[in-house]
Amino acid sequence: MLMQQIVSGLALGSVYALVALGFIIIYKATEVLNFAQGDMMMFCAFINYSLLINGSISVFSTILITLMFGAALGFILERGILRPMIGRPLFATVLVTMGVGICLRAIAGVIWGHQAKAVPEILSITPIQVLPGVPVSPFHLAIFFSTIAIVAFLSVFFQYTRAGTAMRAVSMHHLASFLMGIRVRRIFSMTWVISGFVGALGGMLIAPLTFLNPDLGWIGLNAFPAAVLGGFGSIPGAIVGGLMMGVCENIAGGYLPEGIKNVFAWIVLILVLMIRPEGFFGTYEEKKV
Amino acid sequence: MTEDVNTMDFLRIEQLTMKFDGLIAVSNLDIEVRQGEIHAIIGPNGAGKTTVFNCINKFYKPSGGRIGFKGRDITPLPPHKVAELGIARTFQNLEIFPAMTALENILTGAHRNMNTSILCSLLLGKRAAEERKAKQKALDMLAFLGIASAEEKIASGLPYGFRKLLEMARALLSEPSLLLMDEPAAGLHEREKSEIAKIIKDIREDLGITVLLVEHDMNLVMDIADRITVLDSGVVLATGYPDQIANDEKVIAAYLGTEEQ
Amino acid sequence: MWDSGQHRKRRQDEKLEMNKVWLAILLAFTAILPFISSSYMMHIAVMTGVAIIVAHGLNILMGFTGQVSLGHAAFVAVGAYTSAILTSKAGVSFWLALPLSGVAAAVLGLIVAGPSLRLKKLYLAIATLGYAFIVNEVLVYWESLTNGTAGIVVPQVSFFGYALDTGHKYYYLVYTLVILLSFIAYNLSQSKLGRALMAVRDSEEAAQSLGIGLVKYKVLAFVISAFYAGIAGSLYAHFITVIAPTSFTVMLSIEYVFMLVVGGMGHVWGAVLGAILVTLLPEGIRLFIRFLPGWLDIADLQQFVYGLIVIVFLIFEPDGLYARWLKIKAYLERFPLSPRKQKGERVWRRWR
Repeated sequence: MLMQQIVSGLALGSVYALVALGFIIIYKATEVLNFAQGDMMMFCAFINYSLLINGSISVFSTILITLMFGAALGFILERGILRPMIGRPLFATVLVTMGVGICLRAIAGVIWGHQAKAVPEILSITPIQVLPGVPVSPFHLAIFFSTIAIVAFLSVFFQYTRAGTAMRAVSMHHLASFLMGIRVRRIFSMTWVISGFVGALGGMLIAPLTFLNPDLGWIGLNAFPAAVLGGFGSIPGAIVGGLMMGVCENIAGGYLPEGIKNVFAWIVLILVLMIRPEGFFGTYEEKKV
Repeated sequence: MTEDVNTMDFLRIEQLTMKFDGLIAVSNLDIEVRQGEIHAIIGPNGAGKTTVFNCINKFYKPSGGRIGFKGRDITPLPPHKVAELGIARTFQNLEIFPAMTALENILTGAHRNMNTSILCSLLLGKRAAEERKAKQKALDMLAFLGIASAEEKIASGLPYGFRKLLEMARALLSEPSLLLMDEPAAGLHEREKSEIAKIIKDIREDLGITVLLVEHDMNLVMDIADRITVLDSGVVLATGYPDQIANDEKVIAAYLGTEEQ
Repeated sequence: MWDSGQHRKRRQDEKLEMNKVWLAILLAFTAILPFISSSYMMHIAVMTGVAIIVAHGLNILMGFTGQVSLGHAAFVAVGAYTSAILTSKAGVSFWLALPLSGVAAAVLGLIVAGPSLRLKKLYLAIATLGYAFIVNEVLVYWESLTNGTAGIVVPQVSFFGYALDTGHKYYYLVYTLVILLSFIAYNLSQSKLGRALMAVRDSEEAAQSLGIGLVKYKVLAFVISAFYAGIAGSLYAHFITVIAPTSFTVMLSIEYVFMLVVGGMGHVWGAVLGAILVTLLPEGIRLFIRFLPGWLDIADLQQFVYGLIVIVFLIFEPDGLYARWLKIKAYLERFPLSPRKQKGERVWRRWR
């Protein structure tokens, strides 16, 4: 029983981790907290849904198109709306992303309506015995492994490619990076593209677990505690935070009274912030006078 | 009575040590500021001058040593308590309140001396008697510094020199007995520097405020300081009157000498 | 030297006189509005009044003190539920329950303030979001006290036996408090307390160096802000007469923040303008309903326009409506002269 809860918690946690990852990629480079991350995810899930329902193209192509769409959405949002906000107070920019989230939700409502939709299963959700005594569904496995794959891919990207190195530099110091000839604005664009891509992946993975409607984006908020626990700046932190949150939430759901499950993540978050205001893996910068 | 029982016991820094993660910024520092003097701390970059200031008004918690003010141990106090005792300061990189008007900035300096209760603030606002009094003082201060025209302007939009004076006026309105000035002349040109020198002298002569300042400009320091402490790499190299310092071989070798090469 | 002290003094006095005239006109308009309004308009007016009070409170916390709160609906909820429970279950008079609901919210503010003191910027924003979620969950699951998701029926208010049972009558109660609390907020902005809060917002270091204790003033800001929200919550509950946890969502908290953005953060008048505009916006869109195609859901359209307005404001008018008004006024005052663009005025005042 406990084992099973841990396993399904890992699957849920993987989705949290993906959303948290989306937050952190943007946050690291631009210090902006993207409140629209969950809504971008929701929107991509709807695109995927429409393509699947249409049924004229293969499942593989729908996945590919959705990922492309996510990246394009990130690009358009950055270019059209976030770019004029560069250099403005941080919190103003954060509020802009909230506005973006509201708009995306409204557009999704107009196009797809507010009735909850069941997404066609790409992989079976019925559990099979993978390890003795631990039933896991192929879909949960897919969630878990795609998360690991994308993290591995991004780690290699950040560590070994020119663009990745430039992004790391920008995340440390905007002006210094600019002076070294890095095109900082282009890097900002890239972070949004990658975030959109990760968001699309998250959307496709979470939609079959729940029902799909425009309010799915709110799940993005649940990934905040995960991101904060991870220290809001480190990619491994986000993954560990997300997985921890998923597992804790599932176990709490099994053993704690009804009301606590939904806010368990937030209770943990506030306790952690009381002890370490910068999260587990974060560092705090003191202002110099 | 406790005010000036002993001018020697005004500000006494004993064996002050400050470490950051193993890096020693200042170690076993002894500085003594007498009441009514203009005391300058000089030294090359990274000598630990600003660190001393941050230790005095408790932005840093000293790793060791003791700081006494008017015979009282202020080492364990938080920053705002130190301010309440009458130690005001200005900052190297200007810490004015950017979104407040010039007048509001200066009025904030009066915080320490105003007894307006919270309820009084809420119910009377600017009509409270103390508010009117403070506002008059602030306006006088603006006029005294010659920046009265800036009264209603947002502070961040003012020119650098104005902001520098504004910060000083704010500190003065709190009527401190000790004023810490972190590089008052930095970023100013020659004429402004001589004005600042005159203002600092006036602060001591007319207002009777003891001044402890950190400064790079040797001419200015030699001109206005009564006594000078020279720091190098976190230790005191020498303390004395300006002419003593100017002729001190250690100082010349370590600091002045290198600058003239 | 034409701009002598005397001259300036006279100009300032003239300005003050003008402000008094404007204020009198505004008060007179507020007083006669019910005589020319339908009950639907009165409903909106009362909701606007409630929003103004919350916006003032949030402005004190966010605009003056710079402490972000994305969970202000929680304070409103606590005020509303305190008043509802006291009047419907304990039989306490509304006139006692009203201040008590403010106090209850203020106590929550005190509890929340403690752990928030060390948090900066986005961490604080996220933590306040968390408090709001937790409060909402408590309202849902503490069924013996709150009736859970079913909600509480709240009695209507009577004033010395005279029932305030319509929007027209309730309006005067709400707007008496709006005026009183606006007056207090204005006083605060002009006083030692207000300056201390702004000092904490603008530079914690400089504030401390002037004897302003960060803990004291941050906690005070939370408490005063929550008190405002609690009062507003009580007024809301006794007007709507049925409250449930779904009345106080995260979206509502975000709406309060948007009010300040649209109106002008850190200005008392900004909070008022923002609250009015954001409350009226969905109603304004409703006016266009007959021109719209049938497939378009009005709620979606309202949300979309709402999101769009926030984005547009933040990009093109980051200081809010009030700052724009100040600029227009300044332009008119020196009208015959060239509209000199003053450098440094556009500093995103009050944003930190």
